[in-house]
Amino acid sequence: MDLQVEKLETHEARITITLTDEAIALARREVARKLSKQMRVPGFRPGMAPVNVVIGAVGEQAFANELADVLGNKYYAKAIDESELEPYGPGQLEDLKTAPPQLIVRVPLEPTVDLKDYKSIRVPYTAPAITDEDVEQQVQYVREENAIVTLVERPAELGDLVEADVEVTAEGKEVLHNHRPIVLDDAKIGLPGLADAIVGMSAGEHKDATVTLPDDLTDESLRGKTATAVIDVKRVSSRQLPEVGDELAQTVGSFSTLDELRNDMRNRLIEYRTRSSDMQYQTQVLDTFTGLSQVSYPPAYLEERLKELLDELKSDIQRDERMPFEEWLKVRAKTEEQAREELRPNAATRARRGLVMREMARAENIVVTDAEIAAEVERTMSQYGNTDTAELRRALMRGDNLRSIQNTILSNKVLGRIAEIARGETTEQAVETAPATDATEETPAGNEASV
Amino acid sequence: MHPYEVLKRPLITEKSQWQVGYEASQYAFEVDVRANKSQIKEAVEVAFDVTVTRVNVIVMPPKRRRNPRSRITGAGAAQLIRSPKWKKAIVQVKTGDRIPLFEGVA
Repeated sequence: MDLQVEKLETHEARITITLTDEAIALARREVARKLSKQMRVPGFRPGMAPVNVVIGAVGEQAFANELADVLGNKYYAKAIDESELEPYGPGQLEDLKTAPPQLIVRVPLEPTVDLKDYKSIRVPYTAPAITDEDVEQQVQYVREENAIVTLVERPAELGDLVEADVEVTAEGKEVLHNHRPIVLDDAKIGLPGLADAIVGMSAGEHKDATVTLPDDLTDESLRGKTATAVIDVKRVSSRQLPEVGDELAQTVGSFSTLDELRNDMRNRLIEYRTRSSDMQYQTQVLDTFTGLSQVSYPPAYLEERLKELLDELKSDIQRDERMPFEEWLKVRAKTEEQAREELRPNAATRARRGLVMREMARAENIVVTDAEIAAEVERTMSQYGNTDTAELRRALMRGDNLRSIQNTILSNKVLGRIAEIARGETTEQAVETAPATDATEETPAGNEASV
Repeated sequence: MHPYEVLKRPLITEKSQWQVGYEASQYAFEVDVRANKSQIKEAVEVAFDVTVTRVNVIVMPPKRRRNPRSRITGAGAAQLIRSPKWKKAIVQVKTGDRIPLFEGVA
């Protein structure tokens, strides 16, 4: 057996295995034996028919296919071992030459990731700022939620709560259709001019009005067009907003003063904004890291990610749209092949991100501990409410569920770590710049091992 | 008898394959029951361009068997199937001569 390995640009390798004639003859006999065992050749006991008789019985092509199979099984694994390649998946037989006998196999290689100098990557992080105005706005919302609504027998005024059927149409298309009570305020309705049209109407009145559609309408073709509004007012109620003061705070919850309410709102805002900006930051950092790393993977890897995406799309459609995937394709006049092609860029991003994260976990020695899994399982269980807990726990700790829990924890940890790196908050960095600062949140052992 | 009427088909079986491997190859044929040794010799020589050194013939006896899956019921149940008698010829050729029809012994 003679090997020749050629690396391809597509992160695959082409292995040419040159075999001796004896090896081929041996394999042919093996194939004949196998085939004549499977089918009866008249005049011969099962497995005893010679090669030429078997070829005559099954045909040239079938015999060649079987031969390729046998040769592949016999020599492929050996060739992979000897060539010291790291295959990602099963190789594909490209060609089987007879003179000289050669097997040509294309092997997808294990993806490689070069993170480059990822520890020096910095991405500026801006902490979310909460201004007093933000807080005041929240207080305003609370006021509106707690407005005292009373039915009145007068024409509607701005700021009133009006129950009306409103239908706005332009060029045969429906822009707005509303039966619910609306507050007469342009900012809340989203169609400037509509509130003005309703002002002055009393309960039971009907009116046809025209409004000019704003430039930020979702339907681009209707922007700036004139629309007709058919308004039927049913009820008009006045709204009285409560005063901003300690009393408001007391009605809202267990706060005794307005300042307490404000503080609580501020804290909640900070928490919410920090979380969302952290997530945004993590994605941004991951993109930066991914962009800087050198990732290469074989087409087979991409195809697998593509299949994952397509499966996810299918189950999403099943769940959200409540129709079979085939129907969904029909509605959009697409073939499955087209849908798949549309997902291809996503698959590439996913492949790159996934590989970078996996490599990062390895480089930073990030592992998922049993305790973390247990904690995550408890958390998931609390979301399900009080179902049969023992059974649920067992279900969660098994197979796919366990794997997905592990993956979630791992990717969260990796994202957290790279965010730390990008902010320059790693232990090493802290030691270098300011030895006194207390930044020993992560285990130093993990960092040392990776250096 | 015309030579082409004599040979009916080559017999390719484990045994006949084995005999092909003899020093002087032997080839087995099913031949017409009316054919005699000299006719068989001539037929093989004409058809395959070899020199025949010996011809052995044997008449394979007719056989009868019953088909238990037959749908005939009653007294004649399990239909009787007869196979006719036939003549087998084993032809030895001159050392070195070969008949390609049987070739390719592994």
